[in-house]
Amino acid sequence: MIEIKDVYLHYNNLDMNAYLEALQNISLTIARGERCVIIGPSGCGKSSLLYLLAGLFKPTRGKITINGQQVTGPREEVALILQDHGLFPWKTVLENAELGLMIRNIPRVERRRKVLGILDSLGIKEHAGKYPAQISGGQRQRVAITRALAQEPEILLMDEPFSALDALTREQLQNLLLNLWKERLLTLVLVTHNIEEAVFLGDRIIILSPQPGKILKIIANKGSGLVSYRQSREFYDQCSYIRSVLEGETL
Amino acid sequence: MKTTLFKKISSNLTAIFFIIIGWLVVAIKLNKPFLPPPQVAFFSFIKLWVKGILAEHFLVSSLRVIISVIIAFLLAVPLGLVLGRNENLDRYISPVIYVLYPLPKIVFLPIIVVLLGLGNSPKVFLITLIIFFQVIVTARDASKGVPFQSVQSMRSLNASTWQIYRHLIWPYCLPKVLTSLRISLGTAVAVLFLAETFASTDGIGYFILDAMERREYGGMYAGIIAMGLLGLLVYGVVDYIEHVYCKWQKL
Repeated sequence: MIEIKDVYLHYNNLDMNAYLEALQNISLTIARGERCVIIGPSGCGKSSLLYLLAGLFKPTRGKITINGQQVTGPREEVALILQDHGLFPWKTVLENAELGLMIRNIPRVERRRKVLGILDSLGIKEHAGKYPAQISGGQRQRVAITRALAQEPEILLMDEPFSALDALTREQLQNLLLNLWKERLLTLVLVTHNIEEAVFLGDRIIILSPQPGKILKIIANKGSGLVSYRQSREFYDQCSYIRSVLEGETL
Repeated sequence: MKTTLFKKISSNLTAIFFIIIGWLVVAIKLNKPFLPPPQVAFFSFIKLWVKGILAEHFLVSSLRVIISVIIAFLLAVPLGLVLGRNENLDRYISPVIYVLYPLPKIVFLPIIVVLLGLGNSPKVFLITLIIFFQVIVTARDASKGVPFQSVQSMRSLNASTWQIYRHLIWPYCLPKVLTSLRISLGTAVAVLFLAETFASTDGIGYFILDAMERREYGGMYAGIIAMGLLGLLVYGVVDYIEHVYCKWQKL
């Protein structure tokens, strides 16, 4: 369980020489096994919120706990997937995927076995020896997912993971993510600016306001979690509702 | 890969062929003893090389350049990479580097000779100095340019500072560092020539000047060819290192 309590985040903007507020008074509890999607316009601090959960940033005020323990740095049970900078072009698919385990000093044989197993289940084992530049965007994202899953996380944080992909690949990966969530009993926190993605994936959708990011609305999204939801009437209604909330804010 | 190597060699040979033709034409037109036709120069090159005189000077000069490159690389790369990641340190050290960087190091030659004498050490010191400044500035700028997200991705995997340098910063900066090394090698070989003609008793520079003073023009051109070969050799070594360690760049 993730508990975010009265969290504020400020940062120094060197260009503007100002102390800016990125997040304002965020309080949120995310239950174990939940799929929580955070959506908002760019610059609303949604990525910052993810960095806070990953223990990469420290809140200026307030407190974040995971399973009752205060977050003070990166933790093994929390994995983070970033949009495009997660994979290193100088490492092969296999080397990229096993990087997390390598950093934890897991013996070579063991980490290879584990990572190859996951690569296999995600359908990209045959590309293990290639470099990221030699595979497609969707395959690259599967490698990033492999790296995250290899550390056997309880919580998976994703920062706009599918935004650089074409529509078809994006849907495939969203379906894959749902399956993985089910199989591995993950808690998912996903940041996106794509409304359809938010509605398809999130059983709860948190809408943030633009700078500074405040929680504008929390929407329960009961129908999500099934691939068939994408074609349903409720899906479209939910999307247009969220669009109206977001547009109301930016007008 | 073999075909590209073959292509490279054959295009280099073509270039050499045209240079020799040009040389021949100018030599015949000019018809002066100080510009003998290429075959005379090559003949004396082979003669002097087989005798071991030229080979010995060549070896001396090569070792000077190679040792200087290694020392400069080992000092400048770690320092540059750390400076680029450490603002506080950078604030104090960078101004010193920026003041010294554009200064032509060759002007220190007389002082260096007075301090270090006539042997290898003044040459090695001077060339090291030249390469050092070029490489440290590049390494520093490159490591400053490592994407923020990549660093965060490493941190989220719980990587130590050393692991971030090892898996991210070093491979990210290596191609840029090698490029700067290649640029500085041109200057380094030129400065080596000057240093070897100034208060020196060995090296190709000394050999060329000595031949010139004796009006031994065949020998002088043999020395010039040897100098060209030295440049080619060090370039080749850097190219090879890049080919082996930065394969991913060409994908």
